[in-house]
Amino acid sequence: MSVDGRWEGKLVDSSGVSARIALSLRTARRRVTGDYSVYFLSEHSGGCADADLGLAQSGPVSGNLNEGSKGVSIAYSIQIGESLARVEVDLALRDAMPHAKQALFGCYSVSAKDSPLTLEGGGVVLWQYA
Amino acid sequence: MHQVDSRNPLPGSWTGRLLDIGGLEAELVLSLRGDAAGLNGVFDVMITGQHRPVRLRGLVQGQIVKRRLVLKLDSGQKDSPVDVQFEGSAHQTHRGRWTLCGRYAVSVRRPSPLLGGVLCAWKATAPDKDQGVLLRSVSPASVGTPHLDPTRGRATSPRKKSTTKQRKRKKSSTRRGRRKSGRRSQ
Repeated sequence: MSVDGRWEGKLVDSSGVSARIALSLRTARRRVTGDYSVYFLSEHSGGCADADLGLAQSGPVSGNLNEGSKGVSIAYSIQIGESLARVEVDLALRDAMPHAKQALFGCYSVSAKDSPLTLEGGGVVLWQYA
Repeated sequence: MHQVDSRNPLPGSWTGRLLDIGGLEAELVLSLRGDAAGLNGVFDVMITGQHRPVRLRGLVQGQIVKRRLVLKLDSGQKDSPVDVQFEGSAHQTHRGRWTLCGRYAVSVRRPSPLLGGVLCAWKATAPDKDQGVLLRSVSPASVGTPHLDPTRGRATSPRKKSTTKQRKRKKSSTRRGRRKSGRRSQ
């Protein structure tokens, strides 16, 4: 199993917010790089599922494979105004058949002082279907 | 918001969600008492995403092992003997909210809808309010809910079937009307 490729999934935040997340990862030796995107559902969603998703955050991520390549730890920073928030994610890799080929799941934490960032930390599950 | 003892934040009522790697989601209410040496309590989980919601309830036992919180949830039911082991941590977010977050694994004696995933819970602001949220999220659609009539293009209420009593009452009032006017049925 490898963490390379495109992943799509959901996150649940301790503030009660849920969102969709997409992740693209590439590994070189034990180093991991890629991009992430977080989408929030609009309050008036009820039509076509994707039409009501609003892109909230996107950017580059970087990190390392965990010991035994059984997961990955990645992090990224978000600048909102003069505030800088750092998000760290620790994910385990596992077979997810029959729902998907494999899954990455774990928790993320947000370190931010006086940051207006909505997300406070929570859990995330990502799937790779092909 | 209830006062939380920062030295022992685990006891109390927690509300949250599970995201399972099998694609299911669940809402969770967790009530804990005790301290780091030994925790116990009850859990209530409502699994959605299937044909009908599945509810699991049971007992919780936990302790702190190497600075990690370990909880064991046992449904104790013959028809759904699911044991869930959670490993994670409790911490305060940058906004001061107490959060419980970690991964859970499932050991089953029979096929289970849950495979394993993440659990994220937060301190409830009012226990009764959060219990209501769990129950309301799976309540069936109410009868008489207005629906769109495509032929008319506006919302209408579904026609209710009249009962026998209502039909008899309607008939008798018609007869009374005919007697008053002096007309007789032939």
